[in-house]
Amino acid sequence: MRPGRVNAVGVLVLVLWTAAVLVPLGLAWSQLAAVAEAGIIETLADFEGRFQSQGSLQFTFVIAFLSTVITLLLGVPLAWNLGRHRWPAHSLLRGLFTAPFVMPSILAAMGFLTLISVFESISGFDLRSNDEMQLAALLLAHAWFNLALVVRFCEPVLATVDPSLEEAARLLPRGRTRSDRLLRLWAPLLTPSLLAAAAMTFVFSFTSFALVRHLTPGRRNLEIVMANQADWAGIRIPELGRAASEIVMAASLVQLLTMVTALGLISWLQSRARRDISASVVDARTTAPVRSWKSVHLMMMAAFVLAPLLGVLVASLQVRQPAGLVWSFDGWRAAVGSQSATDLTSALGWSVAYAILTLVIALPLGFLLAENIHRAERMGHGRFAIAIDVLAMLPLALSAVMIGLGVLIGLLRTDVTMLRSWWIPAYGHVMITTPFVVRVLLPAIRAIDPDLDGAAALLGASPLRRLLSIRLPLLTPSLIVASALVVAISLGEFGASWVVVRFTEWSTLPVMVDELLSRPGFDPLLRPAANAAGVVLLLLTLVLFMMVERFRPLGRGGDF
Amino acid sequence: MRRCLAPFTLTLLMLTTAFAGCLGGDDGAEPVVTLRIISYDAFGVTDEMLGEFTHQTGIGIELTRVGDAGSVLSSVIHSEGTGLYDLALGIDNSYLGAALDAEVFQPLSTSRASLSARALAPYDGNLAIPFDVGSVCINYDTAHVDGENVTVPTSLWNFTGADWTGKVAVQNPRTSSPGRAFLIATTEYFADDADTSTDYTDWWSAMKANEVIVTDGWTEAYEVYYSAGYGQWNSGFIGDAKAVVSYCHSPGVEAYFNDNWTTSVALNLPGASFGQVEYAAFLIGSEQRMAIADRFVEWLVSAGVNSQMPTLNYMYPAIEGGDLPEDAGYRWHAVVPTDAVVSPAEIDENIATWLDGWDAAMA
Repeated sequence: MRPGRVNAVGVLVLVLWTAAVLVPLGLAWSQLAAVAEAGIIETLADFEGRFQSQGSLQFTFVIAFLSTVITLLLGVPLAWNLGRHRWPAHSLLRGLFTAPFVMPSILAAMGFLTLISVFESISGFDLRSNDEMQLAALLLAHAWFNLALVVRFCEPVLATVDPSLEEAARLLPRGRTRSDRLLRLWAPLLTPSLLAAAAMTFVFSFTSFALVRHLTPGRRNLEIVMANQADWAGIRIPELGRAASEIVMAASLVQLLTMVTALGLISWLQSRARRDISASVVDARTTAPVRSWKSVHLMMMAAFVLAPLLGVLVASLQVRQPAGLVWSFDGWRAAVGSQSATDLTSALGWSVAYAILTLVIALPLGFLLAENIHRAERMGHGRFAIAIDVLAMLPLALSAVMIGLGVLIGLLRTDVTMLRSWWIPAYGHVMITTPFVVRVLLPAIRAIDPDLDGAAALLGASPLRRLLSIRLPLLTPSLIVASALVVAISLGEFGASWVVVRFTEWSTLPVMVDELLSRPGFDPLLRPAANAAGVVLLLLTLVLFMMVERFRPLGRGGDF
Repeated sequence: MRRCLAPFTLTLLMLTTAFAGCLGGDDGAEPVVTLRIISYDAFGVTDEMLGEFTHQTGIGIELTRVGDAGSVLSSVIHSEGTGLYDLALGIDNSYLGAALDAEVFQPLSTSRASLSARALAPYDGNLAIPFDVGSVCINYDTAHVDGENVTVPTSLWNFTGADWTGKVAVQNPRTSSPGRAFLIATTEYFADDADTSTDYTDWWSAMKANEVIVTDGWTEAYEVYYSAGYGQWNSGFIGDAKAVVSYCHSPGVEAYFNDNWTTSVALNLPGASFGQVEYAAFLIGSEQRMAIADRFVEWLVSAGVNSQMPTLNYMYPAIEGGDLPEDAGYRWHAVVPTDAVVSPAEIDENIATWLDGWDAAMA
């Protein structure tokens, strides 16, 4: 597609997307502003004075920062080890290290809690009562969750750096020692990818909810502060809604500004990273040193990733009885039966149906958004490109409470029956998966030689023909990877964020887990049943990811 | 070109089959009318029972679950007049004043003759029909309160002493229904006691100084912190709290699921508990006729269904003569205390002040 030509479909998609993201936000904002009496600055100044928000600002920033540091400390050696060598079952390993990122965080929390209690009962140490240990567990869980980002962003760069570069460096006086080369060759090569991974990790640790709630029960980050006020924020009865609206407004503003800054940084860094690596794509990996500390390291990291998943499995098989915990399949039996609002099989069916529906919408949508970004870049509108990119990523960074409120108000005002329609959950799924499609496809689109398209145009191929016979085939591997990501995220989506109202008829697997866990747990089968449903979900995701890894082109995935 | 389109066609095909399968899966005759009900997460009436109701009456039920009693009221107020829901289940007497003030309920004609005096005490009218009751109070661990080193508290002030430093878990009244109920009870308790120089804010300040554990929800306080609850078998258990705010019959529920064994006991302290009544209410804006809503509420308070509340919803039945079952010590371990008496109107008038007072005491 020639630069300079206005594409009607592209513009339409951009307008629709912007509306879908910003209209709920604007609606929520105006509703909150109508109820709040204190201004944002006033509320923020009083944040420490109010019990409901005390300590949350500092906690959120400190946790996000420390989580990012720990994620990098664990992730960079892993990316290096994985990227520089050709390991047996390499794509399986890559799939494994990516999987935690799409796991529902409430299951990750359950998994970590089970691990901690197993460790406590073996060692006799009391980890849970200790404040520092709770924080350490939270940081480790964030690292576990975000490890995939570092691997995904850095590994492709490492795997394709032309070996002659390092050879040349060895010969130069300032590249003789290992540390010299690390500092002068690898650091500059990796910095953009590393910073982008760090910024993404910061975003996800900043907005973390379930992990904070379960692993550090006495503390609140901004997301929890807002969730706590969700019921009454925006209620137009001052005694009920005023304080809640003020808190949500102030907290969401801080969150929005921080997130937009981080996302802008990511977008800018990645458009830079592209120039550095697209020069040559060669397989620079050496045969893996199977009998070495490197393979021990890799196995340890694999164990780290698998351990919480095993924790969920263990928890699904342990049932409380008067005598204590016993091993039993009763939890599984309860999950399959009609113990819950929906049984496992029908929930599984709905999960898959929504995942497919989401894919059908999110994939073309993400593709068109990525094309728009790319076109803006090629036309020299760098800032505009970054703006669209941030907009495309925004659904990931917005507070669940704001969106929930906005969507609810929007739908209530337009047509109530829409709230009951079966596609409402799909809207939420599309909003949170499309950003990932953009992240995967954008670098692939950037890498397509523009001359190919130009040549085909000269030869008289129509735009549609060029799309179908040149661009799409070239993008196929990335499209497959994006599809897997969409399906996995959709399968794991809890409906807590973009989906406001859920009716039992369309309960998905994660909603079922959530529902079981939110009832009082007097009944000993509730937790094992929830974990059993969780195991099914985890297996589904894991298999999907390991299968799809084979299609990832070498050196690709530098965005996700 | 054809090759490229194949995956898309396939996806579309799968999609249509998937949805056709789900939509076509309805068994039996389609009910003529559907009653849309909103309730809280923990609402325990099973799908089988609802199916039975539909089978008997031809009235279909669509149940939406949101958070707790407060979430139900906030959803009702948000969707006021839209007809999104027909019936709300679970708004309690601590929120009833606010709900009546907001004028979101319309009358039902359900007979209240079979309901107990306890259920009708806070409100006896046709806008809200009680379907279950229970009292919120402090539960304690007898492993801690052994009668020798630590004795059973005879006043809430005992909890501000050294025996209980860091050992009491309560819920944030802005985010939890039991927490809110207990706060209301304390306002009355300290207004009524012999000491006129102190009120609830002084007690809460003293509790704060005594390192009271505050959680955002009941589950955290009970499951994660309370040493004598079922949480001790869960992963993630901390167990620092030897006393927790819960229901006065929670020890009974513990015993019921645990072969008549528990170390948890409800503190029977006059005026230190809140009698909670949960209501069914017909919402303004509903497109259903009152008779349809009545059918459901009558079914809910019918002897056969209502007497099952203790095992379904972990609450007392609202009907006259309704009680907890004797099985596995459920009733034996439960306590029926003398509750603080605070009317819905009083709560509605003062709750904002009380919550602000609590916030100030705890900050």
